[in-house]
Amino acid sequence: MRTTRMSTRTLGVLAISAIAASFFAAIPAHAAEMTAKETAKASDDARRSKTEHQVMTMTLTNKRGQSRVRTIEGWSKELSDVEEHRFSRFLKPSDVRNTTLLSYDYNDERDDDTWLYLPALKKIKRILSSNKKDYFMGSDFTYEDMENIDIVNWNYSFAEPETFAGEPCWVVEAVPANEKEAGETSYSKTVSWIAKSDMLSRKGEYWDKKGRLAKRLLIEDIHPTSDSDPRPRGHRMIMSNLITGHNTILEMNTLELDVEVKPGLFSQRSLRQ
Amino acid sequence: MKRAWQRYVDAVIRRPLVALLVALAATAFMAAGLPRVYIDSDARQFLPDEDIARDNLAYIEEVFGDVSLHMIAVLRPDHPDGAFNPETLALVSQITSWLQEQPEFETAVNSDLRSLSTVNDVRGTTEGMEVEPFMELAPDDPGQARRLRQAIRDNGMFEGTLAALDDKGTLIMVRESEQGHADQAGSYLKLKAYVDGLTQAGHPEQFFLAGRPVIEGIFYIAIPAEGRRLLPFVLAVISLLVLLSFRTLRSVGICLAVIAATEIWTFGFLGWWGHPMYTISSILLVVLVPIAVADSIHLLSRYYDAQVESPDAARDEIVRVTMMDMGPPVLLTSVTTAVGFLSTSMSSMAPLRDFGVLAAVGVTAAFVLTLLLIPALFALLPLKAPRFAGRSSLLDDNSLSVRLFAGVARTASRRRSWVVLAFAALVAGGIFGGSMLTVDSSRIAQFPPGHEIRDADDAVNAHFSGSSILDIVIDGGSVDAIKDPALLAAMLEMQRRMDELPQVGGSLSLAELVARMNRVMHGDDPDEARIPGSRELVAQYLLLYSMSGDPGDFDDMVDYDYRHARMQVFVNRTGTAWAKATLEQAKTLADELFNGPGLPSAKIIFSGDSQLSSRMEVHVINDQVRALAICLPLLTLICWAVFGRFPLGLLAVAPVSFALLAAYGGMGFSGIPVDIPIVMLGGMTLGIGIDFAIHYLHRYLGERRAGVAHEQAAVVTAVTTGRALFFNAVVLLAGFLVLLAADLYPQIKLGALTTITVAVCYLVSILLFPATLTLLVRIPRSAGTGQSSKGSR
Repeated sequence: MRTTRMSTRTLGVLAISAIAASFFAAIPAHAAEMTAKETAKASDDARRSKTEHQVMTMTLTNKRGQSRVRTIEGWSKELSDVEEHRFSRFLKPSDVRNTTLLSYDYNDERDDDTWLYLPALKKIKRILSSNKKDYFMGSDFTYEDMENIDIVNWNYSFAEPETFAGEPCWVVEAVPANEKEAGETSYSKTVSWIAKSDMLSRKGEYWDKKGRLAKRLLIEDIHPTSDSDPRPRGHRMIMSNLITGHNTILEMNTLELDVEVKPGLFSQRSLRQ
Repeated sequence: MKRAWQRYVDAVIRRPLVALLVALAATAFMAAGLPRVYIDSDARQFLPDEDIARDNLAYIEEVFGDVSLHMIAVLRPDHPDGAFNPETLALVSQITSWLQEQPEFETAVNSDLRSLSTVNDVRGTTEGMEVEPFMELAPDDPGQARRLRQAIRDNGMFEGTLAALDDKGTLIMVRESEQGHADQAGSYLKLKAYVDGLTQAGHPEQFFLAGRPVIEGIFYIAIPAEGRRLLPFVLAVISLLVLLSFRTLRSVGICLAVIAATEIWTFGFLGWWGHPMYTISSILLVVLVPIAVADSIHLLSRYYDAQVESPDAARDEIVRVTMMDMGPPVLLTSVTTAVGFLSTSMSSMAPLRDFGVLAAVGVTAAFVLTLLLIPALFALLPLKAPRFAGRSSLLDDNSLSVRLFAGVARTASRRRSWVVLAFAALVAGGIFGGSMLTVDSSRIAQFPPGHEIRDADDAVNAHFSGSSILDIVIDGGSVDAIKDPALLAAMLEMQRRMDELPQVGGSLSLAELVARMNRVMHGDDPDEARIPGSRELVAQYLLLYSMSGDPGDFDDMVDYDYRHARMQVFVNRTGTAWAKATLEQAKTLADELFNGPGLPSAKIIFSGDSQLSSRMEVHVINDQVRALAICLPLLTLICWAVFGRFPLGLLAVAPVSFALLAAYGGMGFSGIPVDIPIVMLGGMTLGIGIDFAIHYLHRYLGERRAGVAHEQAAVVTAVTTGRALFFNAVVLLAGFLVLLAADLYPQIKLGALTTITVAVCYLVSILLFPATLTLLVRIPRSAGTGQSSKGSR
């Protein structure tokens, strides 16, 4: 579900947290009167903060139980409704330490720009690639999973409300609204469990075009990002690919919203530093 | 023993209905096992559990998942641009999309489904690199299509798979899903129906389906189909022969009842046993028919002969005489036939073992059913006018056949040296031919030329890198070991040297991808298509690729913690000899490039079609030798025990030994390779062929002990037992010749070779025995009167 195409493969670390983000204002009071579309939108709207900083551990595990663990530090900045800049640096494992990515994501017709710095090569390279069905950094998240809600090209409806993880939830189903979208998306249907208490999504299910339940997302460890910032966020996300048996766990070791970002961070020059 | 038998025969004559009910109840019970029968066409079942090829395959599947792929070759030979024209490429895109929608195929990641539409091309650009599918959308114009062909050529990794070496085609390779694996026949049929539909819709492209799942799917379909097709045929042939011989409908009815019940018992047993039905066991459906009917024929023959000899005897008396006379030889031949088949059950290959057991069960079932049904039916049915009414002894018959049989026996015993010389020549020829034997246990060789899978295999081998895969797994021993530049460089060198072999059409490995990335990251400089010197750079390339390509892009080339890498070597020649040569070369190179002083250390594991095929060859030879080594001495011992003298035991196994020599020699001369079903030939021939010697010797020795001189004894045996054996041989030949109409090549070969061996067994019995027995059997003059016994068997 998306409003615009995030077409480049970027190290959009911060975008992942947006999945779990939600509107922290007093939405629940109105939720009962909202349509399914409005409920989905309300849950999605919350993701925005002007800037974010995070240190995250990404654990990729395949069906044979083998894992790849990476630690990544990242910053992002939303310049406008259609433009976002991201900067990410690998901290671990040691053989890829200081591999750095910079991306400019455009939520319009423009192609995204991505630059990569490989310290062993000591060169900055530009990367071109695009497909919204593509997986993000070898994880189980596709770019599509991380995009904003698309209220034009998807139809939303309520299923029976359910209690999930102790929270009464709205259950919102979404299906592509037109053939073009049906052709572009990987999914035939998505379902979100949105907690009535804080409008944060607790669970997501993704059905593929063969009608199989393909992926399941769980969002856990929801709490304020810090003592000084009461806005709650999920700090642990588990995306399981039920077809491949692969799963991705993202753990936010640090998550800061609306932080001051060093000037010039989102430039090619900073990649080498 | 004799009294127990007598009591049994009396009991059946008194209460025939009870015997029939017992047979019926047992048959109903066995029939309940039939729905439990299931088919297993997995090639690896032919390898013993502990075989290294099986271990290696399990290991590689543990690390890399199911490694067998459906191959869909799309060819457009008549187009000047081959497959690289907009229409064909649009079709490839369409097929790929279709595959993605089908639950029978695994298409979750790119290494599951490799086609022009899914595989990513790593391209160098002036600023960096680009990772995109070779073909995201089918090109609109011929120029674009040609550029796509050039892109594959420039990339190099997928030359020979995504693009035919002669541009004529492109290959789509897809892994089967769990659902697809559970129903390989269904997956194959669906795929076939789809491409057939494309052809019917007027697409000019040629489609070929190949790969291991396709072969196994076809086998799965062929097994029941073979049975359904051949069984009625063999039943008709046997019924006709029985009718012509005994000229009564009841004889046909009795034989058919025994055959039907034997089949039900045998395959019902398989169901209750819980083992799967392997491809080769399907042969039993047909083979059991002549074997099951053999005992009945002997009983029927004796039954009618007894009526000739004693026209006034009561029905019960005729039945009693028949059963008392024929019980012992029928028991003995059933035991030896079962022993022959059981020798196959010593095989290291599960399907052969099960075949041996099933065949032995079938022989036993036929024996028990014959003894239950026949006396009961004889006792219930009124006596029928015998076929040779008005003749009191077979020897009185002056017919052409009697004169012929007698003449052969006389000539053989008089011209002993000629006969012995002829057989010595046969043995020498057999040994010489046998020295030229080759082995081919490849699965493709199991299909006759012209079969769709053979055509598909030929097409893939002719246009692409090859349809058989040798998998080489490099185990670095620890996490991240594969990122070692020295190890990757050795892999790249190994790949380069393997590619030089004439039978290798191409290869694929992670080393090639790393070299490709190094080139791309150095401004697409061809000189940089090598492994970089730093481990960090390798790691960073791999990270970069994992972020740029799709996560599953090289899941089949390297495992998750970079401990194992896999190299696929495509072999474009079919047959065990090529598979073995490829494997040997790979082993030599592995020794040269790894684990020496100054060389990277790694454990190299070989698997895939080549390894499976090579290992099967070892088992085929060992099993054949073992079956003969166990069976021949055992049968010699049995016959020594029965006939009382060791030389007679040896002589009894002479016909089958000569027959096998003739068969193997013939195969050697004509270049027919030994394959798995041929291993079955040994045991089968021994078990069936020894019957000829037993019946012959039984009769001949009986005559000699009654004091008859050698030549006369040989003549009597020839016209009595010899004639019955001739009929027995004709029935067997007819049954086995039906196999020539089979779809699967090994069944055809088995049919032809068994036919030869049965014929040779028969000829040895009627020629060599009269020629040599005089030297081996010396009966004291006082032993008898010199009178021939009656002309019944």
